[in-house]
Amino acid sequence: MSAKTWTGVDGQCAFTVFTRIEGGKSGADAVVAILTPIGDHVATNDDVPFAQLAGLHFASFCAVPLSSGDWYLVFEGNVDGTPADFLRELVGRAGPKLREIYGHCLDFPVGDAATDEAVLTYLLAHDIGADTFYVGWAGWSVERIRREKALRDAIEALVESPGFTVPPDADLATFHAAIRDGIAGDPQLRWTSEPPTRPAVVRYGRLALVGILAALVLVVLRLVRRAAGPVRSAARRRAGRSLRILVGLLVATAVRLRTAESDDERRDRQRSPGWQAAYDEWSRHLGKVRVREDEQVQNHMISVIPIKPGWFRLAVLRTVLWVINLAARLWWNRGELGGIGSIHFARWVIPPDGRDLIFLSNYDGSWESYLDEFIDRASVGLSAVWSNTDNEVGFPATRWLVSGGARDEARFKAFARRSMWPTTVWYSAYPSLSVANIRTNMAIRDDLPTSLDPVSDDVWLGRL
Amino acid sequence: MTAAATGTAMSRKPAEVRPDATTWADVQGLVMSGYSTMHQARYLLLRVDEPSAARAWIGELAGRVTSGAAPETERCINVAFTAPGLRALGLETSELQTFPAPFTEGMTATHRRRSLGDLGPSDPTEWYWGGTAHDAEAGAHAVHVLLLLFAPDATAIAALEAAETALLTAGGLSVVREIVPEPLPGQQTPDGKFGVEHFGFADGMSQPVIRDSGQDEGLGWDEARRSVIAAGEFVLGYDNGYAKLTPWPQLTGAERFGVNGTFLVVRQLAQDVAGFRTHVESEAARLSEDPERLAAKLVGRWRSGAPLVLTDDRDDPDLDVSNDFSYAELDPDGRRCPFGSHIRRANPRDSLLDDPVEALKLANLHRIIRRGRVFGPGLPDDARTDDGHERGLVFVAVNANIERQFEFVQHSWIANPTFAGLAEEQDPMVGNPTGGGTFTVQARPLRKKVTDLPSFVTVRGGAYFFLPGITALRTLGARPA
Repeated sequence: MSAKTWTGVDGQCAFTVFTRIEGGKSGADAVVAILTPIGDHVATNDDVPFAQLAGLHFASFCAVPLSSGDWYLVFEGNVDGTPADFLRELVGRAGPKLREIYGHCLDFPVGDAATDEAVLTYLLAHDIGADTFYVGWAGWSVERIRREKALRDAIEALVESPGFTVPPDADLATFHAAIRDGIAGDPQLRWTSEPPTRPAVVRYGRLALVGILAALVLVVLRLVRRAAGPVRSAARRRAGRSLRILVGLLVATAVRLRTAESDDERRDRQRSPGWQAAYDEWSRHLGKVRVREDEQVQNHMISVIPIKPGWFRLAVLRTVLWVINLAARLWWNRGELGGIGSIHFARWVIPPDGRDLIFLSNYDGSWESYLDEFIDRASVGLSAVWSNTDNEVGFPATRWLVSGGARDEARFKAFARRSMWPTTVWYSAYPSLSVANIRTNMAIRDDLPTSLDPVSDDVWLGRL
Repeated sequence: MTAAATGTAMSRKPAEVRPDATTWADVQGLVMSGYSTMHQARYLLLRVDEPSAARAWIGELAGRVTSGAAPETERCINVAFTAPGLRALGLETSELQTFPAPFTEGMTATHRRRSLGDLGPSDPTEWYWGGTAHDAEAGAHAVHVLLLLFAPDATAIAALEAAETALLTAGGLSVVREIVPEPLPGQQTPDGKFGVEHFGFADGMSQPVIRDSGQDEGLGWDEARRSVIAAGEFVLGYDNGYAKLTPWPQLTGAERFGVNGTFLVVRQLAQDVAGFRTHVESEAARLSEDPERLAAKLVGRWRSGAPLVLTDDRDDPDLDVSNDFSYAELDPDGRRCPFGSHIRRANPRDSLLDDPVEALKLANLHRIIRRGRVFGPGLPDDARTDDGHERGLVFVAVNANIERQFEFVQHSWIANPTFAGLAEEQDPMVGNPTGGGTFTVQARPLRKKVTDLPSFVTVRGGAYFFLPGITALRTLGARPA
């Protein structure tokens, strides 16, 4: 089951339009030349009017080379609704520019054949979705995020306005009520009198995940019980066989994994040049990679890393991505991914030839602080994914898939930096908001219509 | 290539690497001490004119450079180099590549300008030194070397400066610019312990303590837990906060060149003292606040240094040197010390995660040792207009990993508009380069907002320097042409 099939369960979808650029590096340069002015004026340009496209959270265009030697254009979108609806609107509004861009890509329809419908079909046909898709606030549409921000701004303005005349020694409930009444008078904010709703996936996701895990445990327990059943019964034989196969598979995988890891370590010791020298040599490109970094509260990164050769690593990687995707969909959908509270949207995707792993992320704060969160809070997950990949720096030595690895700070950062490519176009629908800001605005909105006890009122007023 | 061998050696690091007595005899003294008995200082920014003579000068100077082990007596000398400086001294490109990117790219690289907030009036095109107006590689204003001189009094510093200037001039270097910090007594509190910066606040209370430096002995458990930091965070060649070795710079034939070295961040910051006073007073009037208390809210400490976390309603000089506090327990909602106050941003201690123990551990991966001094005459207490004299702070910070330490503090804490869940505001003292900032004073029942904050601090110059160990200075001095 690919993530693509259920990115929409909570309202937001990921699309990754992945197209081969003709003419190698020079073709890629030509595409980048078209894209750069768009990226320079991403919110205001008329060619691709991102800001006017409904339901778009984040989008990016990057040109990257893959292990095959070919260059690809990666068009990432994080949208409310379906990719088809979004891309149809995009083609309607940015058709000429899309034709110019994709005219450099393989199999794009030529001349009169490139009707809007043909362009849309092309884009959809090249959407490779995501193997793992993480949404910071599952179910929170662009509209809702902006609306809740507008509410907060209105409250901040209200309490600063001369008309707000609650005496400073009034009790907290009076403040709360005065704010609620002040907001109620604003026709733009009438929606706030409705009780807030929670998306189904947020309400039931964790329950569903617990259910799935419980079912798994039950199946194994049943096998064990059957295997301990009456001697010579067919059920016992079958259960015993299943159990033996299961345990055997696990043991074989563990042994195979550990062997692969020690082989990697041995090869790493013979690495020439050493990882540090390889990174130092590359690091003069750092400025190009950082071309759009730190322009605002949020940042974007694209990373491309070759998967280690052989079916085993690819299989392990696909399994890990599947598991993380499951956890991200059902459990980590409330502003936090395993201890990392700074990601709006992120994905891992393996292109069709299975040779590379692409990572795309829209996150808060500096790259350095983001990577520190990887290392300090989520090294297990990061190691489980990236230890299956290798580049000139090489992933730090990892044991049992999750231990060590990303904890090797200097080398892990060098590895991750080395894997990055410039983000040529990057759009954010709410560039001043952090994941935590969205949480605060949400909490302000949730408790606005209700009367609270004094302690909760204190907390609520403290959010302003 | 040399780096190849050591790169592998580093990844197979067998056990803990911790400093011993020989370390501190090789590390330059500034890492260990701010030389508080040396009341006078001169910072000379130098250019290398004749590389081979300059190398010989460095070799000679190595014998006079103050180490971390030597007691302060009559004078102290330390020396550090920019990347263009090392290039001018003859380092090969392949050797310079082994230095970390922020050092080789420099403080003024475009993306760095954004992340450090060097914008508007603080833009490096406007800087007195180290900026982009002066061709950093070759121009007459290029800064290659920083020579730091310290002496107990005016006579001694004059003699030291004359002697060193003669030697460096003879050694193929010239002085591009000189910074004269204020003599220390003028910036000390009555008990002589900490400096007072120009806005009128005691400064320098909260410093990390280096593990295995001797200075980490005899501390209380809580103080040790909060302040003692792995030596590798401040000196290359030893275990850092991750119990790993931070990669160090290497020269051909001198793979351990970077060991016992570290990086200095130097930024000359001009302070608009009159602007600070008038804005605080007008906002205090608007918000019906006591101006002293509002100023303390911006800083996070009262003028004496007493932390707001411990005394929220009035200054308490008995607490002036107190550093014994944490946020999670006493002030989780910022209603004593605002989330956005300068000291809380500069070191959030245990406050950024739900789990305070984990939060402190992570915050301590981003510590810097501050060794700056103030410059320019004080503005009289009653003045509300500027007197035309420039004044401020020469910010000097010691760190082994510029990106994870100084730059992280500056970008992810000081200048981060969403720090600690805040929205669209930056450090009210130093993180607001283009003005027009906002500052939230968390309060019960309702927060107060300080608005239209002008920029009180303007960057006038700056650079990243490498501060080599004394052995490394000798290596540099002995390099053939």
